[in-house]
Amino acid sequence: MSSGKQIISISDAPKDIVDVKKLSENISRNEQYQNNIGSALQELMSVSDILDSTIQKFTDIRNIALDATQTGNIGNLPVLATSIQVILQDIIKDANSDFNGKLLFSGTKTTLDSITPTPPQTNSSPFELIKDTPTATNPSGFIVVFKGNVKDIEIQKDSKSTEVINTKANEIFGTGGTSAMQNVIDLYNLLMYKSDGSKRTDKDLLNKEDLGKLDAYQKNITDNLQKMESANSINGSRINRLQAVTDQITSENIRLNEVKSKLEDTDVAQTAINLARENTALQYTLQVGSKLVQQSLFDFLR
Amino acid sequence: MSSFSSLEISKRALAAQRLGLDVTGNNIANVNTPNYSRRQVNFSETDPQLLNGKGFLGTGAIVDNLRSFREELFDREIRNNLSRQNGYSYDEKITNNLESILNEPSDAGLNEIVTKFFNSFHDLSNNPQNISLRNNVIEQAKTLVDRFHSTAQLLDDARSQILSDINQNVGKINSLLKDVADLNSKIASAKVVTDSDVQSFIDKREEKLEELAKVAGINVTKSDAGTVNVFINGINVVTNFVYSPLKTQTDINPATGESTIQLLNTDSNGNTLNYIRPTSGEIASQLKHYNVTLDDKDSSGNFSVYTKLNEFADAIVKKVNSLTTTGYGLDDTTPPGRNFFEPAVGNATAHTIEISASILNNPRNIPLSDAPNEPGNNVIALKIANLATDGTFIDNQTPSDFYSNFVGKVGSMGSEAINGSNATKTVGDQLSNQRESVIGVNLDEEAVNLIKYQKAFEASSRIVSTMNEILQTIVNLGK
Repeated sequence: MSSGKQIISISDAPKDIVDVKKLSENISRNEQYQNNIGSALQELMSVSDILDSTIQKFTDIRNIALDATQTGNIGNLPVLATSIQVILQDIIKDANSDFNGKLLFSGTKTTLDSITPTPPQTNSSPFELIKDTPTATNPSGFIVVFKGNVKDIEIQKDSKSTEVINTKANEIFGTGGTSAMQNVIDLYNLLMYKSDGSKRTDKDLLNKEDLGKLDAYQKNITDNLQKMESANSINGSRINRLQAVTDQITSENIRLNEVKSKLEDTDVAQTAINLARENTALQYTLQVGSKLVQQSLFDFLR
Repeated sequence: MSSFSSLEISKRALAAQRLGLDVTGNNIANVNTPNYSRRQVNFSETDPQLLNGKGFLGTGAIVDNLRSFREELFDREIRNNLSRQNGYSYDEKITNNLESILNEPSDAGLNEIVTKFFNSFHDLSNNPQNISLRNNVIEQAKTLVDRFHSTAQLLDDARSQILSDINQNVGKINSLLKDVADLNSKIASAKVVTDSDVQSFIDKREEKLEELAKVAGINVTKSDAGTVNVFINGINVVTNFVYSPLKTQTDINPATGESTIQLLNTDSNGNTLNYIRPTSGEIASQLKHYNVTLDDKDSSGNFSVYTKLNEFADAIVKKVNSLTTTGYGLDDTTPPGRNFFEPAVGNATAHTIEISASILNNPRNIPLSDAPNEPGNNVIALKIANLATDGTFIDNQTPSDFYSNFVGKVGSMGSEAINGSNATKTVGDQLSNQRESVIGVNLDEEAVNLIKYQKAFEASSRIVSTMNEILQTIVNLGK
């Protein structure tokens, strides 16, 4: 009654103790899986926010590409190009995001320490926009380099299965983790430079060949957007799956705790009845015993 | 036949009834004396006298003998039961101690600590680059190692205590064997001396035999001279007036280093004679627990708590090391083959398990990645965390199942001891009651005897008084 437990000593019910221990271990393990999932969910939600932001930025770039074909913007192509460059820098900033110090899109290279820049790279961020030697096809010389890897990071979501929780660079930005950004650079080059490699002025309009390229770049960026939305959707599915597993584990733990309680906790009502019954028996025994002790022949020999 | 004959009859009657009163008084005085067997006065008629061919006339009564109600059947069964009961009681004491050492049942036992250790790898697998989580793994490992060490130390202490108990019991056995041999001598001597109270020596000897039976299961045989021979598992330790003292001997297995305590009897010069292996009694339980249950190197194949604990520690060391040696720490560029636990070579025990110094001093060195320079790589971390559910971890069981079954076995051992102790106590009470009803003093019966002998004494006195008056009358006839 006082302890609230019906198993005070392991000798009381060895078989039940084995079951209680196993149940406790299962409950504890499930709680650990819930912790794993809880931590992963926060990370996945952060990834979701960043992907939303990146998708919006790519949408903005695609809109700028559309704007470039509009009559009113014919003389503003370098300005539009500059806007694209700024947005690209923001995209790279998003791609270098971390969650509690853990880089989100660089595979298993999750810390800056693990990335060693090699010239012309200048920093340890996983994504970097660098200015390389200009070429005929890349008159700006801009290239985006990815210094991470595309390995999976898994967590244990229950005793039998794992879940990949990271979204890789190639899943968002295509081949090499930079293809989408390279498409943006192509667009930038088209709007900023003429086909001979010289900078475009506000009087240099897009020729027929340029318009054909613009059309192709728009299509590429649209394809990239679809890929990003797909990655975001996969990330959302992971969130849903993990939340479902959490609910399932919560239900399982409620059931396990009930079974455990039945095995080890006191049935207070039954124990109170037993206590009253045993107390009655004790009182009765004491009364009978006291009468037995009084009986002796010597008492009658006075 | 003269008037003096009647006086003679009365004198014998007075003496006989007075002895009856003495015996009854002695019975009443010993009503609460353990192992006292009540005495009964048996009267017999003295030889009659021939009355001038007219027949025989009785000459009164004398005390023929004092009967004792000692029953060997009960004594033997009670001794056997005492041996079993005390063996179970010691088993119960040891399992209670083990429960306390293992801190079970509780939510802070070794099992929970092992679970927390593996769970810390789960936490770390979410963020393998996180130094504070790496430190947490080391702290959990420290707790685990400390618990193994403290449990091993407590088991050592318990084993030492048993050794002390064994030595005390050997001393007690020797003292009791000597007492039994001495009492044999007194009984044999008393048998040939008239009026000696042999029965009180027999009662005392039985008391000693029962004390002896509590410590070691014995067999007792009786000789015609009233002496007893005592055997422990077939080895004769008391032969009439001579006893064979016991001593302990520590045997070391050179191959395994396993130390076992053996019990031997010796001759009068202290030379060892035979190994004695009591099958019941407190010392049998003590030898079992010292040589098996709490022996860290036990090779008997029976259930040893210490051996199982060592196996558990060894499995943790080997399984975790087998994974960490394939992994990379945060700063490793080449495979370091780093062990998490020591000793890396040979078998670890609950005493020797330690955290490797390279890991203890630098959490960055915990190998969690299966490739260099990948701080987010948690492949090894997950594998270590999943050892908690590895069905081949130890004896084809998960760590938790192994430990739960291990605790269950300790519980079964305790349960068996408690049940045995309760059962033998009940049987013991029944046997004692049955024996008491035969050999014990019944105050009602003694009260009746008291009245009977008192009245008989008064009546005999009355005869003397009457004869005195008759003789007075006869003497006065001549005046």
